[in-house]
Amino acid sequence: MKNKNFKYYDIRLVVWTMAFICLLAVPIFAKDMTFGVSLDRDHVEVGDMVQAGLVFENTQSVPALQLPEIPGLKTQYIGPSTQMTNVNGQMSSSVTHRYRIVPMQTGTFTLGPFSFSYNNDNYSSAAVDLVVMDRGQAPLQSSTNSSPARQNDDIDGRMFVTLSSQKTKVYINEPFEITVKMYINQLSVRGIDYPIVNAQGLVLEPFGQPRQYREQLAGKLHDVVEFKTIAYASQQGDLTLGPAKMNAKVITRQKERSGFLGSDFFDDFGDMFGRANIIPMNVSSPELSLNVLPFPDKDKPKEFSGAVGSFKLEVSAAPLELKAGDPITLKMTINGSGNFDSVQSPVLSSLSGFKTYNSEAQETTDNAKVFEQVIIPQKTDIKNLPTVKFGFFDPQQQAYRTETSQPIGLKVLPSDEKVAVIIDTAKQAPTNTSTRVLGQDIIYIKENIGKLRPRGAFLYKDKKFRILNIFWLFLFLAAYFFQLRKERLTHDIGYARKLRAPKVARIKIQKAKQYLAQNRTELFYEQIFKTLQEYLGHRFNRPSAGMTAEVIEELIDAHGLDHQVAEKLKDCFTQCDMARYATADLDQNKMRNTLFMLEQAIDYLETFKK
Amino acid sequence: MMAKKIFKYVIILLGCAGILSSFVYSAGAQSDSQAQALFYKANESFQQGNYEQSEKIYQEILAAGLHSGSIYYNLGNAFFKQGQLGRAIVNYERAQRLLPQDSDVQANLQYALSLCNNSVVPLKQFWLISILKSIARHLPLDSWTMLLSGVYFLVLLFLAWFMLSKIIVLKKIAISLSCLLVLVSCLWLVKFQQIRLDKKAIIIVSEIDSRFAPAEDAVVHFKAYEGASIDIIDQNNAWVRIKTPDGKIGWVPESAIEKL
Repeated sequence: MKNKNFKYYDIRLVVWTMAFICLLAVPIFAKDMTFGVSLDRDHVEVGDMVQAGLVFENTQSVPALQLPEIPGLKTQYIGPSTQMTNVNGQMSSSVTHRYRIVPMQTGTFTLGPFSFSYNNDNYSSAAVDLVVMDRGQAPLQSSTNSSPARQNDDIDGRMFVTLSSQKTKVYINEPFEITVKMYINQLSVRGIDYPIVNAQGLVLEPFGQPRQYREQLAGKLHDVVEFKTIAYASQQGDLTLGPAKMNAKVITRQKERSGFLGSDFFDDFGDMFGRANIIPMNVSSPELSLNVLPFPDKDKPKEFSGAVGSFKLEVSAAPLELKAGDPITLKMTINGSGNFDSVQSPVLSSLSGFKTYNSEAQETTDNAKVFEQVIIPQKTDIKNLPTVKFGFFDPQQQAYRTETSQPIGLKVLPSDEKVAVIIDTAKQAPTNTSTRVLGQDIIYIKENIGKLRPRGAFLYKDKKFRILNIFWLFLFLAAYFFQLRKERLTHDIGYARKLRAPKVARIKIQKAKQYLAQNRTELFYEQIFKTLQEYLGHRFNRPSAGMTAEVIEELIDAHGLDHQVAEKLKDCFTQCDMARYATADLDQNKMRNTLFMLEQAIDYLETFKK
Repeated sequence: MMAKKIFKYVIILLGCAGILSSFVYSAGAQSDSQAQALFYKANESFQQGNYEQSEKIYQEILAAGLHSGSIYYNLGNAFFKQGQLGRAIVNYERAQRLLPQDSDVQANLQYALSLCNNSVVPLKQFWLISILKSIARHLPLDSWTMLLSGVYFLVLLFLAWFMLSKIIVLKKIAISLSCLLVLVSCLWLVKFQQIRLDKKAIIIVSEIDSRFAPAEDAVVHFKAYEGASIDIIDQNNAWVRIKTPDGKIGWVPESAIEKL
């Protein structure tokens, strides 16, 4: 069952893939077919083989043609080779029917022009010349096993870029077309980037999709990739356009072309078997000179604001019947051809009785720009909208032109409400009208200087302020750690006893020292014994009464106590036991020694971590 | 018993904090008798209708490195009376930054703007930013700083108090104050960005062509009018690249604008 599903999925995948490929192929075959002839070399020696190709662009279904007999040349059909290319996402396809030509005598032979009919259309190619020389005279044209440096030298002459301009004399802001072409002769080129054109003082629109075709140049057939764009000059005077720089990757082969099968059969697998070299190329065009002319001063209309081109003005407005004080939206559309970036809003004349707002550019397309402006009629006696004028410079006619709108009728009705007219008293005198007049002016100056501060001084920059805020944080952290310790002392009895142990021992040792000073042997040893028991009990969280010399061994095993210290503790216990039975044998020196041993042992245990 | 003891400490701490804060916060203000004298002299010139003279004296105080909302406001009035609307708006805007709640400043600014030929529809901002900006506008940066510091202190105080006394209500208060701290922090950042990071400027000439390139003969893109508020986004010698509130970008001479 699982296997069956897999097969169904497999078939469905193939069908969808084929459908997708067919969809991709539709635009390729929809293009116009072109036809050309090419030679792999145009200079050969007698008896050498040269390969000719009849190239059919934008198709892959044209059958092979029978070449006509040319005296002095032997021709033989080799076979077709098809190609699909993708330049910046644009697909194209071609088929080349290859012929082997062997010249039998010296001279210049012309191949073509060839013509043929296909699908009721006639096609014809240009002609190419083949120069045949004696043996040892023909220049070396290609070497497939050459070094990379040599390959680059070969490529340089076979791939170049040109830059051309529609005009060399233009006006400021006048749009003109510039064209960048990359010519490729007998090279496999991939990854062609959009050109980068040096255009100081010019504004270039982005380049459009490139066009691909073939062009005969100096007797050689070249593949051409053509890019076009529109440019505008923003400065007057002599400007330099270019160079145009283009990056591409040239793929060269390492194998002998006239090998087994004598065709490019394995070329398509070149990349796969690592026999191809990819050489990145940066090709530049020569520069162009442009002369940018200023606008003439003669007959310059006052409405002119820098627009260049050929334009028409259309004006519409809504509503055309309204009350005084209501807004009208004026829509002004500039149509035509030219630099729409330079098109400013048209000018309204005779604005008396209207309150106006600034116009706003609403939308710009390739051949139109729309402005909208709000105007408000203030009086009821207004019968027409203001006339709209648009001045521009027409570079074709080399003259200024002014477009003027047709009069648009307007019906202004009296307003329902009494309008409170705001008047700047600083500029206008009071009027004696029936409407209520509100004066308006700025509010008077302040008499108090207010809070003076150094300019640029802000509280967040103040050191004292920062320290105060950090101080609160430290205070909080202190409270936090205090609470943490308090909670541990409450919940961890072992920890609490451990902290208490040295304090208790210190008090008891003081007492023992007093007994020592008074030479009260029994009381001294009793105190030492209690100190030892209580200290060890607290220190190791055990019952104090159970702490004896025998327990020391247990502590060595449980906590890894130092043996010397353990011995000292045992000695202290032993001395205390002896004092109970033979007090006379214990003099002050022995008592001091016992006290010293006890203090040493406690010091050690306080530094002991376990 | 313990809670009462802690409460006593909290009260003492609050008192200390109040005394320290008042000491720190009041440290920024200065009184300068010379500046006062100049201010009254400038006001006198204004009253006599000598607006140019009063403008010069107000500028003299500012040149000494001191400022206040009243100085900017009066200077704006002096410019207004001289018919320099752009410069008046610049100074009203500066006054508004120091006195955001002052109705006189707002009224004069609105009136000056209404006399300008500006009807730009600003681009819509993200709603949250718009709300934060409209709230942040109500206080000067120092007030927001004080508020932020105060809320921060209260958050720490209530957290510490809760830790020591374990009273649940205090925890709830501390959490609520923490949320308030986040909000005030956002408002402070918005205000800080407006005052310190934004490169706002005002057009001070009656009309200026904004061009595609920083050159006199470059193509005109749009016209900017006196009093228009713009953002400076770049500078090239004597030219500045500006952005209008409706999103248009162009180059104008630096002399045509005044930075806030």
